[in-house]
Amino acid sequence: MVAIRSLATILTYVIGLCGMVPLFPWLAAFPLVILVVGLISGLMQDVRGSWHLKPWMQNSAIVPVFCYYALQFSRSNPVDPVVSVLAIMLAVRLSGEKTVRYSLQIYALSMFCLASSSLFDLSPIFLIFLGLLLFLVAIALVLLTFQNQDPAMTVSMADLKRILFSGLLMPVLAVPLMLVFFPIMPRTQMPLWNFLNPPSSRTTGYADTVEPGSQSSIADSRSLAFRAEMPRQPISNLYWRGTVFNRTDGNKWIRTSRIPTEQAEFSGHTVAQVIYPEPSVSRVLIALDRPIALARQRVTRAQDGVFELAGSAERRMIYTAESQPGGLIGQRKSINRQFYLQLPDRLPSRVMSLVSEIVRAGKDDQARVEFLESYFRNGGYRYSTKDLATGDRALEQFLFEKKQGHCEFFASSFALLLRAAGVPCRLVGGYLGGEYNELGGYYLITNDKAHVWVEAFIEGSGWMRIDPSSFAANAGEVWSPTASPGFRLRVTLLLDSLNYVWNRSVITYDLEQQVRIVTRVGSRLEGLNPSKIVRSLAPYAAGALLCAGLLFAAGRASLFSSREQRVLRRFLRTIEREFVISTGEGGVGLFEIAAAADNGLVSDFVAIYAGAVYRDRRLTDDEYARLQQLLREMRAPKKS
Amino acid sequence: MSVTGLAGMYNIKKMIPDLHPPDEVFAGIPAPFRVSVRNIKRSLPSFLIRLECHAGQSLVFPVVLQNAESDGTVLFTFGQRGRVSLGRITISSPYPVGFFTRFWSYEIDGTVVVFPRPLETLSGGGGEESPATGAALRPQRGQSGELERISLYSGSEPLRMIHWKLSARGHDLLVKGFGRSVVAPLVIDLDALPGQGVEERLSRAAWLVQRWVRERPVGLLLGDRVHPAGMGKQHGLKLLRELALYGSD
Repeated sequence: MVAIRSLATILTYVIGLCGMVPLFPWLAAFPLVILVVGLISGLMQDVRGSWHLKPWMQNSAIVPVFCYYALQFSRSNPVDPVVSVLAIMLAVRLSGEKTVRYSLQIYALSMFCLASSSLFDLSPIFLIFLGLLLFLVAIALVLLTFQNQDPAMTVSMADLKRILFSGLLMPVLAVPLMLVFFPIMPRTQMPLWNFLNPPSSRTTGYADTVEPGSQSSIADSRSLAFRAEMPRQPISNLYWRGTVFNRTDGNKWIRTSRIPTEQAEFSGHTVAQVIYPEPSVSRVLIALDRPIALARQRVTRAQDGVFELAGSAERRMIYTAESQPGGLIGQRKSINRQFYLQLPDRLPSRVMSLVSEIVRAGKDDQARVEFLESYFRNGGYRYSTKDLATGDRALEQFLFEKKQGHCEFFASSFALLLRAAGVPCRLVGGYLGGEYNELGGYYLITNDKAHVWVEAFIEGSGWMRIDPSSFAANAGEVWSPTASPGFRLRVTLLLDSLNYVWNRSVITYDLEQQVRIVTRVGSRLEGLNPSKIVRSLAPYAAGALLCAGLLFAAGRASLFSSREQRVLRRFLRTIEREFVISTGEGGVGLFEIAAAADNGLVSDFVAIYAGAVYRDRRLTDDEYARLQQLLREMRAPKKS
Repeated sequence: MSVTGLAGMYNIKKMIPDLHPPDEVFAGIPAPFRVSVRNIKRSLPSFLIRLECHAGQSLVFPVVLQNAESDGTVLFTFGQRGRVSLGRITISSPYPVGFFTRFWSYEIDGTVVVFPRPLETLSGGGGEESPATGAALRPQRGQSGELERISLYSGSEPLRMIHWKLSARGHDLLVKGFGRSVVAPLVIDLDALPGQGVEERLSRAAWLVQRWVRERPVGLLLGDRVHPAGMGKQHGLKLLRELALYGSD
């Protein structure tokens, strides 16, 4: 025999652990220690069977803790006090006796603890713990119901298995319902917990300014920047456009918001993408170069094709974009050339002599760009993130001495030289490349893919994308498109596709998506032709009906049974219903039934039936009719 | 919530309770009734089934297997003699999660006859003291008494009655002749019993029936109605039933 209470207590500890383990990495030292101490002391007391900590002691211990953390609560620090109080309350409850009431409180606190861990990290691990917790709580609630009925209740092992099985069955049945309710339950436009969300400390890989020479080396960050759901693209098109830098002081490039009007002319094929950016402090929305339109509320589009969010991008979101790849955007009219020719007052003499060389070599924009391209290609420049030129003369050092640098060096110097040579241009910050995840059908772009390139305005053609980094002597090694993904990368991509599905279908699922789905379903329904549907579904319906009929027939063997068997079955059913006498599924003799029923109709029935069947002969038609008549009379409502 | 609601509803469905009274139920004395519940569901057991009978007596069955019956005993005490309806049984269960208790009631057809509360008495009715056992023995032929005589075998006696030892000495077969102990029947006259009021006299009569019916023939005189003397449990139950229903028909 197994004591229900012991099992419920064990489950209570496991549930407590499910709530606290995901929270451990985020807890401050004090609540963490209290949590561990509470767990251990509770376990020791439960093993001994005596509880020294009385409920009133525990409750009074919580009050000062609550007051302390309530004073800590502020708009700028909302999460830590709440989470700490939850953890300490859980610890206190775990340290006490596991009565039904306190066990229920532990379950609720564990749920809250797990939910609060989602404020720090919303990974699929959360889903695993949530699933585990839901299953365990369902079983524990069933056990607590038994414990509540009789705290000393014991059941046999076989019965316990049945109880546990029934407890498990409920969440299993609830999962399909949950899957139905999740997409259709109304969503709020803003997450309810948003006020508790801590400000994001993450930034995207590219900065708001481009300043080569500020650091002697840069570190690669493999953290995720965004995912873009779209068909695979040629690698030469994988430029993800973010922001544009249009002013320079010689070393630093910044963006000014007073941008002259442009009239871009889009033609050719477009690529649609669904972008899932990671939360970021930057408000720039990224899309494949060059984005034509971006579907998202409260987004502004600048004249130079930069899309910015009016609010913050600190929570997870999703947007669709449409882009025209290719790297050349035509213009209906000429641009404000002067704006894109802005330069610092003075340029180093070595730079100026190179500029005059460019001007001499090419008469128009196109020729000058080509000359500079060949200068870079043949200049022995190397792409590197180490041993970089620094200081005020960083660009000059890069161009004439070190001849190695990262994309910022290449792009800044290229743009500076172009402007000095009279070709309007600007720097574009974004990302280059990305891993294509075949499983999920999306590009995974990490922050180390951040990139800067140049857009030069060629009179008569338009804005042309030029990536000076690709002119480096070692460009092929750095951006090797032929390298096949290694095992580690494949595993990473597989794991990421899980994360992606989670973000896409759960985290970013909001009112907007709901409305979109409803609209899509509505428009599809409008286009439906009912008669066509009926025709196409008819064979399936017929098949289903046939299967159902067969199943029904198999379940009701009476269709194939003899007249004697049928009438006997009806008789037994009638006896069970009308006389509430157990017929033991036919295991009780007819005469015993007649004696128990003590009813003339029943006795008559038994006499006729037994008179025929017990003597190995079939019922005659008269007898059969009489038996049916008797059954009808037995079922007839009795007059009181 | 929907799943637990449905589980709770299905848990108490297709449960047929029953109440089986004992043979003898006396007013004022707790009587053990057998309460059973049958789960006629084909595939699922029911959990935490609570059966509540009249006056609040209840039983809890942690598990009732599918196509099986569970039973237990509850003690019922009835205040008055007479025919009492078995009333209704309420089946309830807090299963699965104890937030709500679902229940439904089942009307049990049938009645139980509650006998008068037995009240010890020395008088057997009819105004005379009850004779001590043996004082009113009457000699009769039989096989249960003392050896009274030896007689010639007539051919009708059973073989085991033949006195083989004596017969061997002579030429005739001799048989043993036994007497039979017969106690004078006790005829209880309700009106002659001591006591204040009919109920008390019925109680005394019930006591007498219960005390003597297994040892001597007991008859009953209820006003004009005469119940002939007889012995045995069934006869006793018949008399007690008469006493229980006295005045109600």
